[in-house]
Amino acid sequence: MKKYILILLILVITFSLAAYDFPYDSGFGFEFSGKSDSTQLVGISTYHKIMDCPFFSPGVEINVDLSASSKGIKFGGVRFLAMFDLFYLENKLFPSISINPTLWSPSIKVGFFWNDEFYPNFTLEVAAFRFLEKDFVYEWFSPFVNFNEDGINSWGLTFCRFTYMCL
Amino acid sequence: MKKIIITILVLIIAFSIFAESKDDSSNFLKDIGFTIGHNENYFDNNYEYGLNLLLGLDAGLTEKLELNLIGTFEIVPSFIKDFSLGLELNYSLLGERVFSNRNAGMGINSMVGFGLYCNNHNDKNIFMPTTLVLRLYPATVGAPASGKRERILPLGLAYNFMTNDISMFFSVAMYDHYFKGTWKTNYK
Repeated sequence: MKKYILILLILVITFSLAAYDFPYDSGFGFEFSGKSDSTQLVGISTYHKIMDCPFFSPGVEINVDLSASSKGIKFGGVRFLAMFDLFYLENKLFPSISINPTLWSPSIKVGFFWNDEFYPNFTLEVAAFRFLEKDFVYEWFSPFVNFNEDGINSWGLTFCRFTYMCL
Repeated sequence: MKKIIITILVLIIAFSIFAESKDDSSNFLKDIGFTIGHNENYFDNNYEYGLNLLLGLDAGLTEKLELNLIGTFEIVPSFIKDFSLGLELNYSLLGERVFSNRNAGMGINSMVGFGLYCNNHNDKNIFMPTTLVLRLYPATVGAPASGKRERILPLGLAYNFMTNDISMFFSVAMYDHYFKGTWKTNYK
């Protein structure tokens, strides 16, 4: 037990020393995605970074969606996500994303999804094309799955999510 | 006689469209880029709700005109299905998109486009010209000279003349990345 505490302490201290200094920790944004049950989702989201670490930087995100389908426009669900920024690298791959320099920071998001009938599901999203700027977080083509004890019940793709970091 | 007048009229219009102003350098294919974006059709029974991807090629013709070759296909709920391919001619409304000289074009602009699309949304279910589109680009940010341009919230009307249906379409954004006509290639 002492060993684990010691390792945890060392990790916390190391991460704190090597932490990146981002100007803002929180922001809000909007997203546009499509789901396998033939719905389009337009959502608003809030994001808060809990801690700046070089690896696995933790954060939380809440999404509220509106869904459009052939049945009309209605409430699409709520997602509570814990997310981990895997790493931060200078973005040399897609330099034209922004005039300012950006960091490539893929992220894994896990959490709960309550659909339009407030039936709880687990949800997993992989934001591989996630780029950080001073004031914005850009995400493109992030696949996600919603599942419960019966298996996967829907999947989809977030075309874009733009988060304005302001707090 | 009518034929000659029509021919002369067509020639005058065509020459006017491709006319150059002041500078003797040509703008024809001065800038070429590729486009990636999103496209959704609404109130159209031929399309499922979900997510459609838009890919294209973008070629400048004159200071205000450009030609887009655009392909769209569904990626959600079915992955890579329901292709459409079309040509759109876009006209910039708030000034020159490029200049003949070494100055960059307008950084913020609006455009209107007219195009013809092929898909298999017809009774015979064969890939053929079926749809006329009118698209408005309320805001474009960037220019070929800067190497990239974002077309924000384009929307329009589509008329399928094979099934006599009118529908709407909308994109969150379309991103143009230029590989010819940028400050790196043409303005150094």
